[in-house]
Amino acid sequence: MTNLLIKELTPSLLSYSTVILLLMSILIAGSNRLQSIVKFYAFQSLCLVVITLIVGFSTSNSETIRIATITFIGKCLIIPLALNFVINKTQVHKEVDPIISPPTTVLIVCILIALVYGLTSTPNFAKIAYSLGLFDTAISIILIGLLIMISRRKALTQIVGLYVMENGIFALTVDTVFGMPFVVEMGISLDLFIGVLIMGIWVLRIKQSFDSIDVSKLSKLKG
Amino acid sequence: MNEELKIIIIIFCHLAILLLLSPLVNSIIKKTKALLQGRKGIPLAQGYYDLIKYFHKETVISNQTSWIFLITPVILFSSILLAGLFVPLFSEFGSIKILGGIIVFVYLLGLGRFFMSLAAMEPGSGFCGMASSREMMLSVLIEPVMLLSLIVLSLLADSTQIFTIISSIARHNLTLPSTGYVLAIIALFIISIAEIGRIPFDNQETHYELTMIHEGMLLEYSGKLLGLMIWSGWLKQLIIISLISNLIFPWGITNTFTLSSILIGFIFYILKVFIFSIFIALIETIIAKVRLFRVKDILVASFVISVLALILIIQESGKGSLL
Repeated sequence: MTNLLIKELTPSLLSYSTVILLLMSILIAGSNRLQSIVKFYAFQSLCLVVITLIVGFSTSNSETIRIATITFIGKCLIIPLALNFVINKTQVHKEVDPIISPPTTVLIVCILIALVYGLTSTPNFAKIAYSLGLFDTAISIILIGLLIMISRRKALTQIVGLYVMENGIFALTVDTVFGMPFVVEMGISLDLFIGVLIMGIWVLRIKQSFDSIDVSKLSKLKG
Repeated sequence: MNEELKIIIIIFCHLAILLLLSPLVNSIIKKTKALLQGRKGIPLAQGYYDLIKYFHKETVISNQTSWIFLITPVILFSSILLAGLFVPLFSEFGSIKILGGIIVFVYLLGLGRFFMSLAAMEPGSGFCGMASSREMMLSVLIEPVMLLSLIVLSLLADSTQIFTIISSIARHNLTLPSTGYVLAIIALFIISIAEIGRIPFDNQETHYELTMIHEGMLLEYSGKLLGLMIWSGWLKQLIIISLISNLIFPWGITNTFTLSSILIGFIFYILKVFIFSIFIALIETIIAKVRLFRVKDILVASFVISVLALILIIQESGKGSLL
């Protein structure tokens, strides 16, 4: 009975997590409050953890489950906490004047997703990789992260954009090769944790010397 | 009894329910809001008292107006009532199943809205003109999303008839619904609240001319014509509530013609509508109205959600599994 239930529920749980993964990146692109952006990022990572766990249990691969645990600790706890710490320190709560306004970004994201889904559903592409149906979502998330990075002025939002991109790459690996070897994943996680520390300190220093974390002001000479 | 007579009887019941229930539903929303805010609120029959009062009052019409001002309440009322016939309430027979289903439904609402904003510009009052231009701005954003999310649902059911959509959802209710359906329902819900002019988008209880949208267009109306306009607003509210509650809880709609099944369907329908009205009152209490220029952000979000639903549905149907 429970076996049957799990068999029934797993595909829909997978498809729901996939859609929430995509929705969260759209919300990050469409929001301009930094704190809610960090919350959305944490929730997106949680969905990724759920997907990884499903893959791990269905292939009964203990390495994938370990990767999921590490991802949970890092992306759902440490990185959001560190980002929140930086937000509280710099007292910058809002993306005031982005290069592309949030509603326009969301519309561009919509076009992007339609393009990606359209391109990946062509027969040539479907031959290469179609294991979990996560492929097009992952590609879309990578592109959305790139869009967030180039359309925002605040250093913090750009960092979140980078992490969204990384989430997309993670989803891609989960989809195509069912997760990376544990050593590789450890290296990537370490990179991310060190990255959030360095970038946090970097943002604080920018704030100290320029009184703002607007990266467009970095091109002006300070004397 | 032959088949046609049955259908005529059901359609008359359908119209009577729409006309009689709509003031009550509005009063329920108002009363629930008042109770949640710690006030006593109006009696539940207040809607009927209001209508009776409006229809006994004298109608005063500005001499600057033309025939459009006179004919608009009638067009609005009849187009909304006709749109109401496309939504099944408690029985399959009550809904019209010729014509284009959802497309006609959306544009019948659009027809009424068009005439309403035309008539609001007639008397030359500044506030009416402002409200009318705002209504047009909102409807440009509302209409495509409403149509798109209904189209997603109709793709799921392979039919543009609202009854067929609802029954095909009801057939699949034992398994978890597909993601496309859930996203389309979310988009449709957001857009329904915008369509009936409830709080994140428009405040119906305001009497401050600069913030009114729907109410602002009725400023120059009086007496019987005002009664008709207000009644059609309530009717639209009830129709949209019935549509969305039947799409979310697709149970209890009968397709047989026996007294017991119709009675059960009717009780289910009343329950659904009441629960939904209370839910809308809850949303109105906990959410603040957004600025007019931020309204478009919410509507863009619901547009993106419905486009996403459309993409997912098309992708799923490519693999051969629907819903």
